[in-house]
This record gives sequence, C-alpha cells and structure tokens, in this order.
Amino acid sequence: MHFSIVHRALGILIIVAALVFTASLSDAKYPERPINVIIAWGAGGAPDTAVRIIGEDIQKKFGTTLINIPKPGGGGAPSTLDLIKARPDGYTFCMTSLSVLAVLPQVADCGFTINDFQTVAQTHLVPQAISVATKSGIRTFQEFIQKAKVEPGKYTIASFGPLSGQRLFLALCFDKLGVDIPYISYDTVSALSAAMLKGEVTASLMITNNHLPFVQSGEFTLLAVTTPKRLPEYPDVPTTVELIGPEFSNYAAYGIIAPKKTPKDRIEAFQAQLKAALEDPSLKARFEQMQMPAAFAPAEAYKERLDQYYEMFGKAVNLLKIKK
Amino acid sequence: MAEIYTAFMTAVSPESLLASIMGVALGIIFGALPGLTPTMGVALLLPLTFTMKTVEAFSMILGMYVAGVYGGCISAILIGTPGTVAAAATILEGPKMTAKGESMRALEMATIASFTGGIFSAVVLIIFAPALAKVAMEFGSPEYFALAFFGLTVVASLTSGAILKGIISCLIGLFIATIGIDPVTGVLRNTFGIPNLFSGVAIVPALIGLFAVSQVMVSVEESLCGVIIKETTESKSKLSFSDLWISKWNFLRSSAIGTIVGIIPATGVSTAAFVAYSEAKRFSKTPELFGTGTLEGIAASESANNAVTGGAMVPLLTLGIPGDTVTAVMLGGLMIQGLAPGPLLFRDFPVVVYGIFIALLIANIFMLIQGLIAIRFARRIVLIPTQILMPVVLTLCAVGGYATNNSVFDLALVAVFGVLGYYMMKNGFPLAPLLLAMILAPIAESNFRRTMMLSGGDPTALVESPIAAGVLLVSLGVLIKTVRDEFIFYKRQAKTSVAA
Repeated sequence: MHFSIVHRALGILIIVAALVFTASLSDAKYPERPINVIIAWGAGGAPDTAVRIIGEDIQKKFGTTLINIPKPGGGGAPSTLDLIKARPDGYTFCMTSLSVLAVLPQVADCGFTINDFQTVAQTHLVPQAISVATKSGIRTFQEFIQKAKVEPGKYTIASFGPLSGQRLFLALCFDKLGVDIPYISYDTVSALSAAMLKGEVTASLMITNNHLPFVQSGEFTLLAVTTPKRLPEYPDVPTTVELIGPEFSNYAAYGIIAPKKTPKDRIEAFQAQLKAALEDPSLKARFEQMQMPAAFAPAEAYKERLDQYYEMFGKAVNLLKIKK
Repeated sequence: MAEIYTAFMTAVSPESLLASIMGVALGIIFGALPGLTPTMGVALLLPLTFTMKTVEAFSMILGMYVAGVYGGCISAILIGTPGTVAAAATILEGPKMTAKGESMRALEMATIASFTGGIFSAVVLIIFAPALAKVAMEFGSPEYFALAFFGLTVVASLTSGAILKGIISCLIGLFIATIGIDPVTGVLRNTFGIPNLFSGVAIVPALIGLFAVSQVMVSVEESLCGVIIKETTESKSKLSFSDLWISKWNFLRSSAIGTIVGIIPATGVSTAAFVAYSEAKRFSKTPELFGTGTLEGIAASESANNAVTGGAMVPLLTLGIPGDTVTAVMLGGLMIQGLAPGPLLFRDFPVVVYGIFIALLIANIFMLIQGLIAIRFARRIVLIPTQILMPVVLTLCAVGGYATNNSVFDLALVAVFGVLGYYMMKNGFPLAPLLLAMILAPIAESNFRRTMMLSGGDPTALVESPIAAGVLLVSLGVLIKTVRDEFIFYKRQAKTSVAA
C-alpha cells in the first residue's frame, strides 16, 4: 500500500507534465488539428472550390488541414449562425461574403448582427459587370438609361435573388440616375443567361465570369463594370464609378470570419497562413483561372469594407422598403 | 473523321476506362445511400480531376453522374427509402414489388430501364445537340410556367379513385412551398422567424421523412402486430424478355420525356420521372395496377430519370447553360480544364467534345454491368428481418437528412414529415401529390410572377407563345379527362350499389 502515495504523486506529475506539454504545444503550434471551414454555399460551388484550393496550398506550406463544411441555404443565415455558436478556439471559421453579412441582418430577424462575429481576412473580390443582349441594339450604358427613361418599364434588368447585393446595388444606381428599370430575379446563372439570349430581359448584372462565354461569342455586350477602376481585360468598358458617381462600386467580396471570442493570436496565425496562400503566384493563377481574383486583405480592411457595404445596402433597403 | 477516331481512342484508353469504372462504382454508392447525391459526388471528384486529361476527367465525372442518378432506385426498391430525388417516382412502385417478393424483377427492370434511358439520351445528344439547343432556347418564363402547371396536373392522374384526398395532399404541398423568401419582393413568408426556413423547406429531408420514415413507422407497427409484409426468402422471380419487349414503347416514350425535360434548363430528374410515370399510367392497359407494384411504373420513371443525363448535357455543351445541378458543377470542371462551354467548344475542341460523347456512352455501359452486379449483392438486404432492418433504415434516414445541408434542423424536418406521412398514409391520402407540389410550386410561382412582371401584368403573355399555349391546353385536357373519368367511375359505382 505504501506505493500508493508514490503512485498518486507520479500520476499527478504525469498529468501536470502532460498538461504543460500540451499547453506549450498548443501555444507553440497552432493549429495542431484540422480546421473546420463552414461555407455559406453548397458543395462544388465556387466558394467551396476556393476553400479547397486554399486548403491544398496551406497544407503544402504549413501542414494545416482545412475541412470544408458546406452549409447552403437560408440566404447564408444558417452558416453564419453555426459560426457564431461555434467554440471560439480557432478551429472553426466561415467562408462567406458581404452580400450575406451586410444584407440579411437589415431585412430579417436572422439571429445575428454584424457585431456577433469578427473578420479574419478578405480572400477574393469578384468583379461584376452589366451587359445587354447584343441583339437589343443597345451599345452603351448611357444609351440604355436614355431608352429606359423614354419608355419606362419596357427595359428590364436581371440578377440573382430578391435579397441579393446585386439587387440593392442596382436600386441605388437607378435611384441616383432617376430611372425606373424593373428588376427581375432569376435563380441560376443558366436560367438568367437563357433569358438574356431569348430576349426575355434586356440587361443583367452578373460576375464577369458569367458573361464571358457570351461576350466571346458576341451575344452579350458589356455596358459597364461595377469595380472602382477599369478591368485590364476590358479596357474599353467604363466603370459605374465613372458613369454614376464615386460611391457606386460593388464587388462580390468573399472572406473568412471567426466566432467573436476567438483569441487574437490564433486569428493572426490563421490570417498569416491565408495571406501566404493567397499571395502565392501559383494559387493566384488558379484563382484567376476560375475568374475569382485573389485579393487578400487583413481583418481590419475586410471589416471596413463590411461596414461600408452595410451602410450602402442599408440605404437601398430603405429605398425598396424591405427593412425588417 | 480523324477527330472522331482520336476522340474514340482517348475515351477507350485504359486510364479513361478505369476512371469510368471508378466513377460508376462510386456513383452507385452515392446514389443508393440517402443523403449522398450525385451533385455532391461530382463536386467531390472535381478536385481530383484538376491534373487529369479532359476526357479522362469526364469519364470519371460522367460515370458518377449516370450511376448516381441510377443508384437511387436500389434503396428505393429494397428498403423503401429513396437514395436520391431521382427515385421519387420509383418509390411509388418499387417497395410494393419487394413486398410481393419480386424485388429482383424490379431491380433488373430499373437497371435496364436506366441503361435504356441513358443510352437513348446520349444518342440524342450526339446526333441532335446543336439543333436541340435552339429549341431549349425557346423556353422562357411563360413556357416554364406552363411546364410546371402541366406537372401539377399530373397530380390528378396520380390520384385517381381518391381525387379529393389527392387535391388536399397537393394543397398541403403548395402551402409548404410558400415558406421562405418571396422570390420577387424578398419578403419573408411563413418562416416564423426561423432562419433555417429562409430558403424554404429542403426537398431531401421532406422526401426522406414522407416516404421512408413513415414507411418505417408502418412496418414497425405491423411487425408489433405480428403481420409479416415482406418476403423472407431471396427473390427468385427474374425479369423475362417478354417483360422487356412489352415495355418497348414505354421505354421509348419515357426516355424521350426524360431527354426533353433534361434539355430544358432548371427542371430536373424528379420532374422527368413523375411526368413519365403518369404518362405511362395514362397509356397503360391496366392503369388501375399503378401504385400496387407494377414493372411499367418502374420502367417509366427509371428510364426517364436517366434520360435526363444526356439531355442535360445538351445545353451545357452547346450553350454553356447547365440543365441541372450536376451539370452546373460540371461547368466548373470544364472551366478548370480551360474550356469555355458554348458554341465555340464544338469548333475549337472537337476531340474533347466527341471524347465526352463517347465517355457518356461508355459510362452507361459500365452502369449496366456494374449495376447488374451490384443488385445481386444488394438483394440480400430483403433477407434482413424487419426488426433489424428498420432501425438501420431509420439511421440512414437520419444520416441522409443531415448530410445534404449539414443541418440539424433538417433532422427535425425529417421527423415532422415522417409523422405527417404516417398519418396521411393511414388515412388514405396519397403522398406523391404533396411532394410533387413542393417540387413544382416554386418553379410555377416564380415563373408566373416573372411573366407578369415582364408583361406589366398582362395575363395574355402566358399564352402568347405556341409552346406555352400548347402545353397549357394539354394540361387542361388532362384535367378535364381525369375529372370526367372520376365522375363516371363514381356514377357507375353509385348505380351498382343502388342495384345491389
């Protein structure tokens, strides 16, 4: 029996040692296990692929494994809710976009506000463009607006979803221009493209990638891009900033967010890995190939953009009278 | 010609064949397991294909696609749980045949029907792709509305004998379909403040609850009461050549329906299967046997859902417009390979296009072979006693309900729909109209409202195009005929009972 005290002491020692060891390990080496990345869209979509590509790269560089958890539906609300409820230990993040974060809390009781999570990094900015079907005969943005002013309701513009950033952005643009162009919502790129080809709608606002095949085949004509500066691949296409005003630019802005109480050092560690991946030339090329230009920006910059979009979309929500 | 030869050689290279075999094997598994869908499977395979040659990559992806659409019927027939939405119509007949001890006949018919549909649509794709793409382009919002409306009239023909109960079931489905963000204004409808309902009630959990969980409840109840409903020996009855020969027109009609529905973007496998099923019933010499376990029903729904595969490739390859969710993922795959689908693809990369065509044919052949092997093993499932099988099925239901959206909320949906389905079944309400309404109502609603917005509220826009007007007219005819038949049926019944 007299061994028992020794045993006990030994046991305690081992436990303490183990605790110290794991504690020091976790301090020194984060992440020590795979990181879950919730994705606000379905498996196989562009954001899912983006996370996969990033995951492959940081696996190579740092040995960090990313696990994709696609969580589609609900306008992005369920994915955000899962994130804010997750343990803030640096092992759960969410790939999402500002059209989820900056719109939904303003129009619905969706269970979160923009203060319930923290930003980690911006990953990519997808440029968008407005095009018309070439057979409509319209050649320029000004011509489109002029014609729509002369015959209100005859010309229409389409994009995705009744609560999307695109709809809100267009509402602000047309309000500023004083023109009434009905907004038609489609569910998928295919349905919208088909409607354009058929001549059911006059114009569309989509990411430039979606226009590309039809611009190449000459069936669509680009009228404007919604970026602050002209895109190098379309030097002749004016920007909405040039055409309407300095505050009229809008990206599909993707990024990573974390639960609110995640330790700062872990956020910074993950952010550094994302930065290294997103600034790697080979990853940039792969992102470019999928027409989603990598655009790493640190947490603060992404948060700033979030606040800016929140304010901009807030105006549109008031304008369209869809405030909650 | 040299191009076709090169394409053929790439498509039958050992690498491509191996890729195809693997794709088909995985596809059958993804199809058969509830909750794993062909869309998911293709999405998961996509990163593997980054470094492969285009035709090899597509051998694997197409294998997964065609076999995934097919695989759903195995679990639908054997355990009454649809593996995918593609099997939503098969479930109306399959489990009943298993109960009669004819599971093997049903499975063989489903496999051969899937193969027939797949090959038919692949051949149509190869011969008519560019011409058909033009027809698909004629489909605008009014035409989609007409098509969805036609689908909804199918409800009537699915419920002959209990038309009132069918309509009630359909109305419940229509109500459920209103849940979610309004497709035009963005207002939240009937969501009761639950964020998980913002995009509406997910179809897969509802399908699993309605058809599988309710079936489990019924089976458990019956086994508690000592009723044995299923065969306890392995099914010996085999499919005969005459079974196939009788079905030749059915195959042809259903494959054609599936291909057409596939070509039209944004419809889907379940629509195709239901339309083909109800058409088979209308053309059948014994329509009263539908719903009691007929080969005809299985042949129709399975050849139609696999015919969607080739059809959906038509707009993808010719116009860059995917015909369903799987082909939407494939579009991403093509772009990763540096190919922009569209009219230019045929001109600039004929070898790739023909290679994909041949890979599709090969995938269908492997699907037939591997499918026939798979069902030889799978059929033993019926030997498992109900008391053991049902908990397993329930587990699969839970896994399936959860996995599609990684959502615990969807598990609750599975349970709610399970109870709903159970009470509906017990009281003689058909389940299919509810599901069909849930699938079709969003298509009908958003396209109706879009048409109204585009025309400035002028209802004649609905019938301006000949396609839309024609489809609506046919739907009206179907509706009138069904009601008339029903009326005559009851009148005769009343007469005989008076006479008695």
